Amino acid sequence: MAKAVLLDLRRCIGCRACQVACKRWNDREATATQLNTDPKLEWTNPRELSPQTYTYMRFTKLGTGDSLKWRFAKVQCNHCIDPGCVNACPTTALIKSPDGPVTYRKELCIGCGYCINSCPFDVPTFDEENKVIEKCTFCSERLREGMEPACVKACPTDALRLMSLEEARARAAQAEVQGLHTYGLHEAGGTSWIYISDVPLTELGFPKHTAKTPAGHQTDLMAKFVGTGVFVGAALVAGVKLYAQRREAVARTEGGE
Amino acid sequence: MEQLTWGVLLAAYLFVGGLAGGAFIIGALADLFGRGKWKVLSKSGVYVSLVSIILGLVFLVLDLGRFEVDPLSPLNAYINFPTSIMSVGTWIVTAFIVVSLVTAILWFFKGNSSLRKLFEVVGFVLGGSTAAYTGILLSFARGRPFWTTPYLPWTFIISGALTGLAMALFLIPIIAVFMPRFFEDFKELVDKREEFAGMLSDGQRYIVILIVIELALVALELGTGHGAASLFSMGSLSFPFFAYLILGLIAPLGIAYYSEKVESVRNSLMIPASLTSFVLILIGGFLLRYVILMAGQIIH
Repeated sequence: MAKAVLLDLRRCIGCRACQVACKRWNDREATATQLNTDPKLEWTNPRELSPQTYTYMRFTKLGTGDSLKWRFAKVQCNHCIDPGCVNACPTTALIKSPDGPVTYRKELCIGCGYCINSCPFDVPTFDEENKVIEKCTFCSERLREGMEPACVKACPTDALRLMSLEEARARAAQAEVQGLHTYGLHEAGGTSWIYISDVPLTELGFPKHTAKTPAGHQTDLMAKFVGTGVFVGAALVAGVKLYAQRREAVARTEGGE
Repeated sequence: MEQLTWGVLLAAYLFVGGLAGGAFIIGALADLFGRGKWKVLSKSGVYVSLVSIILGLVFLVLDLGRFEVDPLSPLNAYINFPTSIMSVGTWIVTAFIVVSLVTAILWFFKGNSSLRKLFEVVGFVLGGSTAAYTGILLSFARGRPFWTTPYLPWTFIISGALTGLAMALFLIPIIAVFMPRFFEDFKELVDKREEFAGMLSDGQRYIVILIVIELALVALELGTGHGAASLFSMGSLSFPFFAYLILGLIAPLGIAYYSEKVESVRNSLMIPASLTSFVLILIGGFLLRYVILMAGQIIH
C-alpha cells in the first residue's frame, strides 16, 4: 500500500530533530554551515539541500514588529506520485516504488543532471566527487521493515506523521475545506509528502505549481510546439517563395540589358 | 537553490547538435531540390553534419566527466527504452550518426545516387529531430520555468539550420584550399570565382530568411518566457545575450544587405564579407545556447 507523510506545519516547533535524525540514519557527514544572509531566512541552517543534507528546516520570518511571526517548514524530496525526475531519468536509475518512495540506483546513474533540472521542487543535488545525484529516499529500507522514516520517528510533536496516501490526501482535503493551506495535494499532480499550513507554502519559498503531471505538462508543450511549427513552416515557405520571385525578376531585368 | 548542473560543455553540445541537424537538412535539400546545381554545398553539409554530431558526443561525454568513476557508464543511456525524452534523444542521435555516416560515404566515394537520396530523406527527418531534441530536452525540464516554452525548440531548429548553412558554406573554400586533392569539385567551384560568389550570394538570401524567423522566435521567447526580463537586467546574461543579437543576427543581416546593394557577384569584397558573416553566425549560435542554458538555471 502506498505510504505518505503528512507534514502539519502548525505543530512544528522548529527543533530540527528531523534534520539530525536524517543525518544519522543516512550516514551523512556534518558540513560547516553559515547563517543565512537573507534576513527573512537567517536561522535557516543549513541553507539548502546538498549531497550531505537530505532535509533541512526552513525558518521564515513573516511580517515585522508586533505582527512578526516565525514559520518552520521541513524541506525534503516530496516523492511525487508521478515524479518528474523518474520521467526524465535516461537510465531508469530513478524509480517510483509502489509503496511511495522515489529512490535511485546509484550504479545506473550517469550523472547527467536531467533529474535536477526536471524536479519541480529543486530537490536532487549533484555529488561532484562520485558524479551521481543524492536526495531523500523516504527511508525506503526502513519502510520495507515496517518502520517509520528516521525524521518522522524523531519528530516530538507529531508534526510529521506516516500514514497511507489515501488518508493523507483525505486529511489535506479536509484541511482545505477548513480554510487551511496545503502543498502536495495538487502540486505537480500530487506528492506523497503533503503539507498542511496556516500560511500559503509559496510564502515560505516553495515554488508555485499547477496540478499537471509530467505527461500532462509535456503533452501540452508538444501540442503548442506543433502549432508553432505551422507558423514557422509557413514563414519559411513564404520566404523562399518571395526570394524565388525576386530572383526571377532580377534575371529578367539582367536578361533585358 | 541555484545549481548550475549544465555548463559550457553542454552548451557546446546543444550548439553542435543543432548545427549537425541543420547542416544535414541543408545538405539534403540542396541535393534533392538543387537540380544538380548545389552538389558541393550538399556534400559540405553532409560532411559538416557528420563531424559536428561526433564532436557533440565528445562534448557530451566530457561533460559527464565520468572517466575516473566509471568510464563505460554513459552507455547506460541505451538500456532504458524511451520513457525519458533523453533516451529518445539518445536513440535519435545514434540513428542520425549512422545515416549521416552512410550519406557521407556515399557522397565521398560517388556511390549510387538514388540510394544516397533515400538516406538524405531519412537523414532529413533524423537531423530535424536531433536539432528539435536539443530544444525539447530543455523545454520538458519542469524545474526550469524559463525553458518551458514551445518556441525554444523551434528557435534551436532554425538556429541549427542557420548555423549549419553558415558552416557548410564557410568550409567550402577552406576545404578547397587545404585538401584540394580529396575534394576536387570543391576546388573547381571555388576557382570559378564568379560562380562561387553567386552561390554565397544565394546563401546570404536564405540566411536572411532564417535570421528573420529566428528574430521573431526570440521575440516570442522574450515575451512569454518566465523571468525573461533578466536577460536584459542581469549582467552575466545580458552581455552574451546582446552579443548574440548583435553579432549573430543583426551584423549578418547588415552584411547580407550590403551584399545585395553592391554588385555582389563581381565585387571583390563579396567573398570575405560572406565568410565574416558566417563566422559571426556561428559565434551567435553558440552564444544563444549558452545564454538559454544559463538563464534557465539562474532564473527562478
